[in-house]
Amino acid sequence: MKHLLSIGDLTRADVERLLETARSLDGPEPLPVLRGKLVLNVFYESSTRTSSSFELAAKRLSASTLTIKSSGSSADKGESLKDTVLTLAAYEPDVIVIRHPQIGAPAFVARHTAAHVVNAGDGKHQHPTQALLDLYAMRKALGGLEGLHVAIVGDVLHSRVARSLVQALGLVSAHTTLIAPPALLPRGIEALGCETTTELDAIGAADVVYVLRMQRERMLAGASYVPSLREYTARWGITPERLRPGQKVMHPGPLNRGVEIDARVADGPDSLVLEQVRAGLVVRMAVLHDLVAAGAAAARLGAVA
Amino acid sequence: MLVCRNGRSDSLTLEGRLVGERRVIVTVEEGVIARIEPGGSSDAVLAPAFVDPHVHLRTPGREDEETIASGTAAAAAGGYCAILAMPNTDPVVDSAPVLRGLRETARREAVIPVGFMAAISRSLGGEELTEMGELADAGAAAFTDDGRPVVSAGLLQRALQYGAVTGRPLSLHCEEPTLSRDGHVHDGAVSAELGLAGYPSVGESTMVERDLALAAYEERPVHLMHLSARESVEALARARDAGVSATAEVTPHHLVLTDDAVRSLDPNTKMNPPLRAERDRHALLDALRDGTIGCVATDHAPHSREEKDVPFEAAPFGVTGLETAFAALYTHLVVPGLLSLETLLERMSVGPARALGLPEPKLEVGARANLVLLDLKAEWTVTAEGFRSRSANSWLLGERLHGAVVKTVADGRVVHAA
Repeated sequence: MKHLLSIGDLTRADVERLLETARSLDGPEPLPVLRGKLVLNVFYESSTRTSSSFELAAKRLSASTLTIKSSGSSADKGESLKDTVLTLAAYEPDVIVIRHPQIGAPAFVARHTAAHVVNAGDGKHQHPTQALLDLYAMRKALGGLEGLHVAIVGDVLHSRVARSLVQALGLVSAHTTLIAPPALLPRGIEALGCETTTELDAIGAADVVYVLRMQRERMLAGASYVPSLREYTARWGITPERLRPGQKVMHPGPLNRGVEIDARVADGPDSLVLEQVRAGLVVRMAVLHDLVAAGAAAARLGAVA
Repeated sequence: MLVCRNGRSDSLTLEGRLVGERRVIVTVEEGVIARIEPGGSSDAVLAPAFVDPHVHLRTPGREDEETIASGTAAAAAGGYCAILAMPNTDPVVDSAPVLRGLRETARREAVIPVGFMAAISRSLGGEELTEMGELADAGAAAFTDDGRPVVSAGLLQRALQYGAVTGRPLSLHCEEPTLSRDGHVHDGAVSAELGLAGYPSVGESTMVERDLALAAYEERPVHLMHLSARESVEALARARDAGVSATAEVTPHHLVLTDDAVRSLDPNTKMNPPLRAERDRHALLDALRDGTIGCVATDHAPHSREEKDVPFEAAPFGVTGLETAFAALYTHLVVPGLLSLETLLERMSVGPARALGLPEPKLEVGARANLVLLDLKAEWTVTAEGFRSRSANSWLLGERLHGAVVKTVADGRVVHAA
């Protein structure tokens, strides 16, 4: 693997290998496998979970790491992405992790540098490490992924998480149903390999209910995707009453408690939200490891087996 | 209406094959076709030169992207003998002084005859009509707010009514902004997968239907620019059947590509209207074949390298096309047998000239020489360095094409010789 730009670029074998690597790295001990390597985290959008877990993942693998946020950087002075990338590339990083509001920005960075590029979220397009960590957390909680039924509920239209996760679940032969208000369900999304419905009742058949954030900051004024957040919550909000006991609930964060997810669900025993955060660290370690030290990883896995 | 730099008419002979196999020698004397005689040995195709009803010359305002000199040189290299330039420049061509300035520059610089369109509304604001009578008197070739629709139905009605005074065509960019919204690409499976905001086909076709209804009511002709959606073509066919005087154009990129090309996230697949689905491409091709759409237009839209060397979502809309239009369509439509060479040549020359009321290029004795000589056996690769245009934002970079323009004669002068 040269880059991780989209789940669509991966094979099932890639996914299995990354999850297996993550499992082997799951432990508190730092590993020296990326000593002397440089990982740059470039974040043009606000982020807590993703930027912190990439930084921590790089440190756990003993890499040097530097996180650059767009506010306070030259981007504020109008520097183009191309010039920022060329500047950072001059430090000869091994990996550039990038989050950017524009679709295609990570692919653009990959065209202009020799480094491995990891997409940490580009607009509404892709967030591949999120999908991988979600698979990891699901497998840990439920034992297996094949044949699993996942209902993804909420603002699918604006969600890079949903796009990545549908593709990832398809790769491991899990089954996905997208549930959203009509205007938040993009026309043609079924081509990714999922079912769609506007009826929340469809969560009944799911093993996992994956709740998306209502991304209020992406809503154009007056776009009327839904008449109001109040109406959204009344029809599509995930409450304890709407769930079966034992049905697992996931959310990529940050949560809007009381909007798309009831606080009792978020904090309940079937919530995997914090498992997801923990999975984020090991999965991102696995991704960095796989990109930079793929050969060594294969040898190591061979030794474990 | 058309202006070009001053110069002497040429005398020359051209050998070639007319469509239909006949080999001829054409003698041009002082810019006029004097004789067409059987003979010669050339297998190159000789045809009336091309007319492009839709070009952005970016002048005034963005001379770094294109000038009248570079844009008309690009057109000459593409086999064109006349082009029409869009008024969405900075400043907008919405007053006679701006128009006169451009025509003055064209008299010094234009390699081939160029006509300048003027805006329908002041500053393209969509609120007040420009002084269309004065602009027509100053030489406006037609009127358009291209780049933007005339959102107000009432204003378009007034423009149609005033067309009786100016006698100039209206070229319409049909887009319903409350449906196209912030769309970057066709609303379909590809936009759903990539997460790009979609501009649905109905965002074009509902405006096409509205504009045709107004044209019917006012009994005035309209020209619909760069159609992209099947529903638009169907609306156009219905209106034409009902007797509405409506013409339309389609671009090479909409005839060859679909939104599948956007998966590359190459900014040179981003244009307005967007590349649509295969069903739309088929409808456009059928309409071009049967004449419902009578013109090929490039919508040549130069952009600087730095503007297009950005992530897809940040890139401006538009691609260049003057230097590749014939070869692209010959390669992708004529060679595979989807369109006859004869039809393609007609839709690139007489079709657009007639739709926009320009002199029709003719291969006949006594006509001004407006001719193109095409080597159909030639193969060439499109490269960023190979353009006469100042810009290189082509959707064909790196592609190998069949068919090359060997020579272009525009208004009696040799303007391009490969």
